[in-house]
Amino acid sequence: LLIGTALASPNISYDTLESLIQKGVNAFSSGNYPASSEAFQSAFDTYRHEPEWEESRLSEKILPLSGFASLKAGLYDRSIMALALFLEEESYAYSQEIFARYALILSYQKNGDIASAIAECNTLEESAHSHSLKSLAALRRAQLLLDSGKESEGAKLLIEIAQSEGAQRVRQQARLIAIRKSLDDKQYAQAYELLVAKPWETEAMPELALLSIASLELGDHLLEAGKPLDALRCYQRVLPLEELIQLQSRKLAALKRQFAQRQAELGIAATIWEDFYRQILASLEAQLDTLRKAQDYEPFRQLRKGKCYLLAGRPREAWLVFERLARNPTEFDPKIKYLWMLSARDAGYLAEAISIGRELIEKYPDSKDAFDALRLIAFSLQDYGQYHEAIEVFATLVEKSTDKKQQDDAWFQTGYCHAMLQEYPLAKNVFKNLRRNAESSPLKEQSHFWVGLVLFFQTRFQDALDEFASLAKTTASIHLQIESDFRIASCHYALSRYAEAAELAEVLLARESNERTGEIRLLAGDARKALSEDDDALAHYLAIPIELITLKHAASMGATEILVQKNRIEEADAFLTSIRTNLHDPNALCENALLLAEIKLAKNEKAESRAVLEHALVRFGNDPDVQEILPLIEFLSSLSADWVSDQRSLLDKITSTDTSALTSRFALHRALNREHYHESETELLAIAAEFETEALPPECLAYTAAALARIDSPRSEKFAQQIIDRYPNSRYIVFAYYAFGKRAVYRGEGATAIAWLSRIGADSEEFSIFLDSRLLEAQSHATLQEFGQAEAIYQSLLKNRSFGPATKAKLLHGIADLHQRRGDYEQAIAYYQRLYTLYGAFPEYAAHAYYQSAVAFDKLGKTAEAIRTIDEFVSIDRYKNHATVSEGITLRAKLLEERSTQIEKEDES
Amino acid sequence: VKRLNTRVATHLRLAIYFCVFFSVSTKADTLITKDGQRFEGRLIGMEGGYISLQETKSASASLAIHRFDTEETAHIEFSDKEQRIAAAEIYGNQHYADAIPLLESLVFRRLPFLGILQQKDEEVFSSLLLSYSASSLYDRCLGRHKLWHRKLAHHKTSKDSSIAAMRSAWAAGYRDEAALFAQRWIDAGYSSKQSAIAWRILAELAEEKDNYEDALWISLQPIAFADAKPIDQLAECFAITLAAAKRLGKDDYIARLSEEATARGLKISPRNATPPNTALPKPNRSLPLQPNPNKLLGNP
Repeated sequence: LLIGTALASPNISYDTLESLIQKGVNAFSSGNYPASSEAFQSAFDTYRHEPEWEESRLSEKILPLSGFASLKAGLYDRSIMALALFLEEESYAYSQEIFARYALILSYQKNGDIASAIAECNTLEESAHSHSLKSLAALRRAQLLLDSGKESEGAKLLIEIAQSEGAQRVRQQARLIAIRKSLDDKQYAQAYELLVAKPWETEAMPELALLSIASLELGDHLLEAGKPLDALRCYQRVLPLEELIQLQSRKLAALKRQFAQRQAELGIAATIWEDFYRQILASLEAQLDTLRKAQDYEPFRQLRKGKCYLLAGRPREAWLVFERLARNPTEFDPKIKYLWMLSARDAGYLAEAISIGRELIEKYPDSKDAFDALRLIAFSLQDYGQYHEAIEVFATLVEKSTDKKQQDDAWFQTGYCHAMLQEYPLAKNVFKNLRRNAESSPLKEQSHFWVGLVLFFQTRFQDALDEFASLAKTTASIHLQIESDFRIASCHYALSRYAEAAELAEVLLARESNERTGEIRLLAGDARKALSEDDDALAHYLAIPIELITLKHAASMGATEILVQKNRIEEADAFLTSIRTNLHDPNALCENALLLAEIKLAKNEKAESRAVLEHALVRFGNDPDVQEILPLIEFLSSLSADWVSDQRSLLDKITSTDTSALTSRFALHRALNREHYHESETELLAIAAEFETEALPPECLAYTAAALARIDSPRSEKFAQQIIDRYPNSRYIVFAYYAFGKRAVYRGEGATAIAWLSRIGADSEEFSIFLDSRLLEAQSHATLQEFGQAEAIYQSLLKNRSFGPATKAKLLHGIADLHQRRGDYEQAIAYYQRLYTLYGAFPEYAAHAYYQSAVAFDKLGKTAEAIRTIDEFVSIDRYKNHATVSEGITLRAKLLEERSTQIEKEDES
Repeated sequence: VKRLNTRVATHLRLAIYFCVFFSVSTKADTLITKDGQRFEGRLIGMEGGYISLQETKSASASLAIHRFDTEETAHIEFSDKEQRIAAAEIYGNQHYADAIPLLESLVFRRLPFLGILQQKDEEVFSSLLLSYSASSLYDRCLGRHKLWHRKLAHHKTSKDSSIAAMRSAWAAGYRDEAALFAQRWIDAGYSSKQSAIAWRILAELAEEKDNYEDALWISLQPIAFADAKPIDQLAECFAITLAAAKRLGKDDYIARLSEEATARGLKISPRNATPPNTALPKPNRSLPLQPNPNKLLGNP
């Protein structure tokens, strides 16, 4: 066509082959690719059949350049023709082939013939000698596949290249494209595998920047998807922006140096290289500019890392990250402080969490995080057992919140706090109110459930049962259904309706297994045992899986008893031994040792029994945090022939140099086993004098605090405070309350005394201080003229079957005295009469009751009854030596005199 | 055979470097003033704020010495660039003992000018200290560190020098000294990205005193801020954290930490009851300053 046009032209000028080639080369060198393409094409069209063309092998030399120039000029058909023709030649050099094939692939691609481009890539891959070139061709093929919609095929190929033995840069490139593709396709698992599973193998830009950005993006997705550890790995791979800028600057400088060096070295290829370098430099400069303008993501990355730690259960690391972020406050300061607070709380540093929260509230009082912090403070106080303080904070939350749901939640927690404080009426009111008025149905049902629980705590088992039954009927929540049914069975058991408890428990066990199954099984076992259906009970106990080791341990007590009764001692031994290997809790291990020692003793294996006890004592006896040591000492001492030397030998076996805990426990055991009260008290006071309070375990602190309080020593408060501070979860903490209460009674501070003593719950009945604390509480109420509360305490104690007649007499005496003081003489007389009729064997109360009864009759003006009562009183031999007898006689004389005076007056009248 | 090859290669390399080093360079040192003027000669010393440069060629019999005010000097360049590069290569290939003679020569050449050196020249000082430390020449490292560290003008070299000192003091069993260096490092606000040695030292000392809570918190610092890049002494910090967590009965935490250590490819060796260095004789080198436990949680 060109030749045709030229022929038609009026100014025909023929170019020689040499001039055409020169033109083409010159145009190529100056970057004028259309002109270059034109010249080479013209040379080819005009001279290809000339012998000179053949002789000089010009096809081999001209066609690749012609093809490349056409490609750059956008003349793709021409480029394809030239390059394809070149590749048909037989004697081209390998390097030329690679160049031509690669240019041909690009030409096909630009021309829209993707299939041919892919086919050419395959050919290049096959013909290439090096791994690098093969992988480069494969990379191009993968991109073509992706562009042509064959995405899965393309992605698969990319991954293959990334894992191949090709050049690192190509592998890295494939990996980057595959990562980008996976992220765009939301294939996060694959992206994670590509991004994190292997090291990056690159320290070059812009790969590092792209990988950093991809890591940040993937990290965000994974964090949102609840995979904090995977997200953390991603964030750890992100390089700080500052580092990326440094790397990019260095790379740019290096490339500029390289460019300057090469410019001088290259001939015709300089154009290609110049073009290449200029593009690269422009791109690098643009990237550097973007990086410099980008917002520093480092604080956000650290924030996210902190979140990952927090969510992954590593709150200490989270604390460190947030603490550092909080040093340089940003707009996210409230959020960071809140997260810091959460970390502190999760790490178990509640006081610090509260302090951080308070700082946040003070600094940003109106932020949403301040409100959340307030909630968290309340929960932390709850966790600390500071329920009074928690109630105050929940009250603030109710006040501050405008959201009814949040208010309801705060009220619910308030109810919980009251329940924990054993302020059951208050708790019940809160829950009842929520049951009626809460906005959310689940909260209503939860409150209903808690009404039942509170009643259960109040030992109003029938009322509790009714609540649970009504909830079980109405609730749609499976969880609450299970809970209610379990509690109903528990109520039956508590009401001694063992058959009902067992039957219901077994019905529940027949249902699908749930989180209460173990406890229900234990309850069924206990109920069957109470019904003396030992085989069934044993079957339940043994069916509790060993994984529920706490329940299994609890079951072991009942099971052991049954096995011993059935004379299946070996089984009991094996059962306890098998549990022992799974137990980790030192207290449970001590209990297990006690049972096992009893079994060994029952098997006449006294030495083994002692060995079990000694082993437990050596292992845990000197650990102040283990509470079940005293029974071990008690048992072992009963088996010992020479307890004094045995104690010494046990102390020798303790590896620690400080054996104060065990030594003081031995001393406590000695004190508690003294026959006489005063000896016991003296020994307890000796413990207080001989040991540092810091060295004493909770039980020693407890008994010595009580003994010191009984002699009104101020030191008792130091001991009591030690228990509260060091052993807040110890069951011996009630001794601290007792000591503080007793001291308050001595000081005449009735209200303070009640505040301390009322904390001692019915679950402390096992301790000797229980009765004394109750009596002190009643007396304090009476001092404050709160006779009703005082009597309620006496009455509740009277119902307690574990108290002997002496105690009962004392209690009746207390009630009668209360009525007497109130001027309710009729009632006082009734109680006094009951006392001396039923408990006449206890003169210290009965004699007093006789006398006070006479006084009451006198107050009522019933002189004859009064005199008759005194007559009866003085006629009983056992009261002869009692101090009140003389008072009775004096009263009788006075009454008789009054009566004769009265008769005289009546006669006169 | 491999070992033999390596030995031959080492000898050959040393021979080459020897040649490079002792082939007397005809190039001169250069002093560049702030107004851009270049003066060539031999840098012979610095005194009273003046740098002395001796002419290397002169028409007359004597070679004149010129003095330049340091205030007016932009920088100085030494003629032994090839030797410096050769030393850097040996050091970079972790042949520390081989690097020492070369680095020492370079250091002595530059010593009079410490304080006004360019970073590349100052780096020979920190490389030498790190080489001493890696070659168990702990006392030499500590002695030189004390002489030089206040004069080091560049952040990186100063940090590297401190790391060398910490490593040497700890490895030599000078625990008080190591603790002092470590505390200084933390107080200076240096991060643990390059090395976690400071935290490792303080954590291990806390562990020795059965203060496991402190040991746990201190050793956790570099772990919490570590990114994917390997960090010197991070494995040791993991080991201390894990041991402390075990002592404190935090079993669930141990599992989580171990998971990360495994993911990082760290080999955590179980900790002995007695730290290895306590067996070393302790010279009477206790320093008045003890690490303040309240300041242990510094900026990593």
